[in-house]
Amino acid sequence: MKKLILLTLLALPLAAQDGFDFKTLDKLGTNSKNHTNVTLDGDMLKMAAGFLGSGKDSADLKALVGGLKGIYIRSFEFANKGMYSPADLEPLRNYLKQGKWNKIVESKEDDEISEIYLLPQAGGTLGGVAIIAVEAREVTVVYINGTLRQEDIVKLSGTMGIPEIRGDLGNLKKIEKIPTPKKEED
Amino acid sequence: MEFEPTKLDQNLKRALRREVPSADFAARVLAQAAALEKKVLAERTLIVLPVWRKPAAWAIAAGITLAAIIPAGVSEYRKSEERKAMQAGRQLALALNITRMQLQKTRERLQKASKQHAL
Repeated sequence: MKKLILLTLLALPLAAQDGFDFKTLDKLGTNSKNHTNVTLDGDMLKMAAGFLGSGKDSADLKALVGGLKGIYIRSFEFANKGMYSPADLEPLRNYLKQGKWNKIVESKEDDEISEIYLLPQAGGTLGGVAIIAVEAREVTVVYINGTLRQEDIVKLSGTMGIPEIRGDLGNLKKIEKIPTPKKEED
Repeated sequence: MEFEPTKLDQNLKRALRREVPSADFAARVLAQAAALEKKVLAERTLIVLPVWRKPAAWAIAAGITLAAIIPAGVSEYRKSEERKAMQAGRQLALALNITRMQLQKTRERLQKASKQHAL
């Protein structure tokens, strides 16, 4: 019984984070020159939505934000190359490998890596979006948790720069692996 | 049949007989009444509680304090909530900008890679 209570207590912080524990990414920024941390969840998101203005774009954004449970961003800038360990991103990658997350984009060019993961839901909606962007001197992780409607993303693709996604999101199961571009011959 | 007056009757008669009051009787009664009134007034003054021990005074003071504190508290709470909301709004704008920037970068990389791959 005591073990059960202890396990429940240990599981509480993870449950509160509703998925991935972003504290595990703090190690990444140990040597960072600049860092940006955004943690918006629950009531904070509702509050923030109230400050989006009243235009049409704002209405679209409000609709999008209305379905979200949380937005978590960790972005670190480093003075020099090799000042962070790429292995520190593995806990997040491992988390995204579990469950129903689909890696829909993986792009690698020299030191630059971009990965986009989507969590498809029933009814053609998404349950979340995760972006891992790695550069020689910069690491950014974006994790958006909550329901995103396909039409919201399409509507806002121009405003927010979200790439247009056409068709059923359920079909985006295959990883779109972009091969490393060939370097131009001299 | 006649009753002979008993000792009790005689005593009653003597006790209840009409007596002419002394000349200063009225003055003495008035003096005693005045003294009694003074005494009552003096006692009344003694039992008057200081203001700070009166429940009504406390109630009024509490009412005034609450009337002063509550609007100030409500105003401060509203300001604090507005500050939080503004901060959250700025964080959301920042988050959406970072997301947009990363998606744009990814799109550019994909486009560049696709072009190079096509070559």
